[in-house]
Amino acid sequence: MDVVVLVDNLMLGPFTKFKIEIPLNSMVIITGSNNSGKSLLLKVLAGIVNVKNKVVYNKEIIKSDKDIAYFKNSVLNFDTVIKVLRYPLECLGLDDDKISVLVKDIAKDLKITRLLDSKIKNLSNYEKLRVGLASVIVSNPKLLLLDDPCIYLSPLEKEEFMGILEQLRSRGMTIVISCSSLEEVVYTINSILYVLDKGTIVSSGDMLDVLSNDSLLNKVGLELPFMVDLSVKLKYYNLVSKINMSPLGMVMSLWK
Amino acid sequence: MEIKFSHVNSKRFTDLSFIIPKGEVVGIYGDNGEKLLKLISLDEDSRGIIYFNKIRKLRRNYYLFKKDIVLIERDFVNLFNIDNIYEYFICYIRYKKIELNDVDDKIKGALKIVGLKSDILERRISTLTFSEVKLLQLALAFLSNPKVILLDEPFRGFDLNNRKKIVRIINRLKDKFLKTIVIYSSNPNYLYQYTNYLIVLYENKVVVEGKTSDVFFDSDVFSLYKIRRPDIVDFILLVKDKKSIKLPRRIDVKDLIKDIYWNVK
Repeated sequence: MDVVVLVDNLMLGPFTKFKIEIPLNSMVIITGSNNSGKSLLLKVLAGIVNVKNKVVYNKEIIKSDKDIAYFKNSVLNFDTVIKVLRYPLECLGLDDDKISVLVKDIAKDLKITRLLDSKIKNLSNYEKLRVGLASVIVSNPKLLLLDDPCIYLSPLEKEEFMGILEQLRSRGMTIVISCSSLEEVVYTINSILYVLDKGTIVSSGDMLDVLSNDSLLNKVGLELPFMVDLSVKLKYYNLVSKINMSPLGMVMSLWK
Repeated sequence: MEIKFSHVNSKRFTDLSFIIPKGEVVGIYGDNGEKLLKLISLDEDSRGIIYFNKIRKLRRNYYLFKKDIVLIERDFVNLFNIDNIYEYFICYIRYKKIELNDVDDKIKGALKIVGLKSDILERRISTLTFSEVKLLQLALAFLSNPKVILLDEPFRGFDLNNRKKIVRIINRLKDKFLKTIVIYSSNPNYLYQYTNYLIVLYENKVVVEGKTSDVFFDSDVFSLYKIRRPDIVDFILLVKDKKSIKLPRRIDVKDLIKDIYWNVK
């Protein structure tokens, strides 16, 4: 499989001889306890930390810095949504008609069409996140890095947001996100999960495989979502055979 | 300190009546709970009767209570545009007009309570990680020795170990120093685990208040207004509903597993 970005032998902050590869068109989730280096790693992958050629991009996919988008929950620079979305395209030097079309398209994809004329300060956290995300992906980057996007979201919003990310991935984007809780992780499909602890990867691989090791995750300081936790622990007692996300299905399978 | 609201109106809320009892960790749940914290902290104007320790709040004496209440906001805001942490502490002490004999000692004490090392004082706020900023915020709040501590989403973004640490701090403040603690969280799982008394808001009214586990298990407002219950409560109630098996009320999943095991075997 093609690799989009490779970090090798990183010596920075909590990291010593750290190595990570991000495959093409994948959804990579980086999680871990507080102070484990999640945010720093994302910044390194985005290429905004000065680490002297420790980060290697695949030149065929990432042709310039414009193909990398990094987003962190932060203050949006303009007072209306439409200005936030138009600004990156104006910087690319596109003409007015094309900008309007692109903005309309992206607004439709992220379900923010009705918000276009509203003020940023009147938006909810989830709306702000979608506007922010739209402003970084409107120029169609190849690599998207999101630093803890789900921290302000409710479970339903998390599920919907992960669906949006999955759509972006199907368009050929490679997505890397960091999470401080495992709640949002279960809403992804075919994702690769990395668990960090003090700058080292303690567990990695397919989402469900990593989640089934509950003692390791608890030791690191992560809490499993309730249904996963229940399934994993019932598995030790041989009461269920696989992770079951639906409470009703679980009840029905337990008390036959 | 016991706080009693009786028919209080404000810009957002109408006819609020509830009691924040002494010696409990009180949770607030429901939309606009953070606005209610603002109301309790007297940052927002209100009309109605509010008692602090059975003394009524009036326009001429409200500053007496205001001094004793501290609200820990969900996001840290740099009030003075100062990056160095020691300088920030000094500015904060002067801004809040806190009288301290030994400033350095008090700062170190406050940092120790939240588990930060004192060499953090030489660092800059912009270089701190998310959790360190949140802990710094707590340390700042403890400097003024408040009687009432209001926390807005204190557990968000913390991992299990740090969350347990904060819960330990909160419980110690409550038991040893008799502080009144009020927590607003949008996550019912945290409220179920860490609070004893719960006030539930819906459409800017108090719909139910009482002991946390009683409220979550017995109250019908959750199904009526489609408010989210804690996952474990939902599961136990689902078992009761579908299979008429009454599992005991549990907080920890490990206990629930044992109950299920004995029931299914």
